[in-house]
Amino acid sequence: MSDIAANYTKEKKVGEGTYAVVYLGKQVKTKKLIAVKEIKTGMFKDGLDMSAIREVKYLLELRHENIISLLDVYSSENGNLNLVLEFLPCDLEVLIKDKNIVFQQADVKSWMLMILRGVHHCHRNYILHRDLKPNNLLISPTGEIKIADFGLARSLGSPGENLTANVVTIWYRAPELLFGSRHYTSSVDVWSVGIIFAELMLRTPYLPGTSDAEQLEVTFRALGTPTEKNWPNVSKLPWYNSLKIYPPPTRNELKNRFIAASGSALDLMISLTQLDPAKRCSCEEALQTVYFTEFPRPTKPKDLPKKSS
Amino acid sequence: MTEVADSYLEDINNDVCPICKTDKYLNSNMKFLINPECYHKICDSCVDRIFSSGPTKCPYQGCEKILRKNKFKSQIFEDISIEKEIDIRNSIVKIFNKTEKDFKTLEEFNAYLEKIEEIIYNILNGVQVKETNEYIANYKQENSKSIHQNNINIQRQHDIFLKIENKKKLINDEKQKLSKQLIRELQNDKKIANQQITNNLLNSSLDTNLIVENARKNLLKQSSARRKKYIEQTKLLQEKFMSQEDLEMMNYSNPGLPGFRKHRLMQQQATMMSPFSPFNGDRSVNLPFEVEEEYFDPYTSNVIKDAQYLAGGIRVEQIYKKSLFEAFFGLDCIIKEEKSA
Repeated sequence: MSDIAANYTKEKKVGEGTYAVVYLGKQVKTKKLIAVKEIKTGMFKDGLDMSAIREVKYLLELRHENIISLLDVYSSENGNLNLVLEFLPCDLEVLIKDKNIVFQQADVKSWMLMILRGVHHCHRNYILHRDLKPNNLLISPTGEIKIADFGLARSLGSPGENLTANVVTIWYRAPELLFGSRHYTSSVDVWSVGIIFAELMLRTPYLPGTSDAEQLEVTFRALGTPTEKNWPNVSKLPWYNSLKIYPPPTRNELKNRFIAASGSALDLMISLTQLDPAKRCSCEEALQTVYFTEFPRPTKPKDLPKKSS
Repeated sequence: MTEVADSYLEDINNDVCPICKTDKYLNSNMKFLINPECYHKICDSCVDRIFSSGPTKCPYQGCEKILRKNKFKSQIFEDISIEKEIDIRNSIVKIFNKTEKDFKTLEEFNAYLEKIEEIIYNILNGVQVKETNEYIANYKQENSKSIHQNNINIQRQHDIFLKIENKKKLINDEKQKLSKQLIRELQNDKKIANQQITNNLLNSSLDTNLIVENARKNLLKQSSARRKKYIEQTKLLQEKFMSQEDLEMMNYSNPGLPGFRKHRLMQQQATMMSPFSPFNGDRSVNLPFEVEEEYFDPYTSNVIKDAQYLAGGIRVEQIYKKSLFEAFFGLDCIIKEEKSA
């Protein structure tokens, strides 16, 4: 066993996925709670699972208060890879689903602020997360949002490089990905953030498609079908074909859908969910909108609603 | 109270008068009335029949309340206990009618509201009825002047509110008329313009494109003038219907915040003064390079023209920025310092 392993204890198994088991444990020296993610090896014939490599590669580089911190990496005696992560007991999906909690406007603003700060940090380092969804936005005991699960992350593609379009959970997948684009930018993450914003206001998934084809239908029914006019070159994308044409929603229709949203909240949502990725705003632009500076101020993380037990 | 609830529950068939057993099904004009003394439901013809010759006992068995005909009213809420509470609430609030402005602190005002709720609860549930009634009587005597004044104020504000709402409605109606007219006019203009184009195309020797272009320009000019006029007219409406007096009254009906609220708001604003930074003070503004518009890079500039790249939102300046960023990446990091921190 390596020396590092002795620094941490694994006390309780809290979850198991296809490629990893998560344990709750402690840092021996400080008694601080941590989570240990043990990556299963041996089940893949080419060594480690791709997502484990991605996770380690990018989390080791990123240090930000709104991104989960990877404290240590070690291999245990059975040869498995162990990631020591900070312990985060809750996630945003749990809160959205908890009907006992009332979201104030200032709370939604505070979450959006933290999400955008975290995503902005990824993007300015040219890293795409590619799987943003409420379930991957963990919440620390002090209420801070931490972006987690970098299993699909990669660095922004260079010209000539092909990226896979089969990323992001389908409900949060940007239209260019739905059309099978192999060359996309950080704006795919921005789209996800926009859909999460809508979900925070609606308290129910905004575009819940059950299949790839239906996702296109649901997305365009809500936001209009893209055409060459509002998104140049879109018809050249691999999976763009004879779509049912829905008109883009008017501002009033959106306003009726998002009754609680203020004018500037709606503006922000509209610019986060632009169909044409070139027109979609960047995180940097999103953070500078009036929405964040106008009244009410974002709730302090420690005062945000918590899981009702 | 429990008596009322029980008899209400017994009477599951809501459409039959418990006194004369007439069914609403047979007599669709029948109305049910209640009397706030005991809240027993009686049909209107029974009320006429029993109480026309003056006050008498409630016809319900075991109910000894003496009822008067003029106190009967139709029920608003289906649940009789809610009906009762609302009646009590209305009568209590008419006596305990102080507003936020009459208090210096929020705590005092909240205590006052709490007291009102306590009184209503007591009367509704028959708790300490005697003490409560005495308390109300005392309060009424002590504050008779202010109660009267407050009620007058409330009534006046309500009147003003109604008056202003009416005017707003009038303005809106007029606005709607104007906008309909605008739409009609615009359509008309279009029709005329189309006709003109056809005529010109037939008769004039000018270039076809030019004719169409000119007609389009004229139409645009016309419609923008009409829109401008519409906006001016809607602005005038406000002045026409709302007199100076009304505007002042609007302010009166919405007087400034009471002392403690103002105080709190000021405190809030003071905390607002601490600067807010969307990036939490962590934003890379000064990059160690400048991105130029063009570089000699045949490969990239060629690839980037591909529709696949353009549709995916990729732009050449981003690629250059990324390349430069990566070239300078980590140059400002001093590993020794980072390790010691």
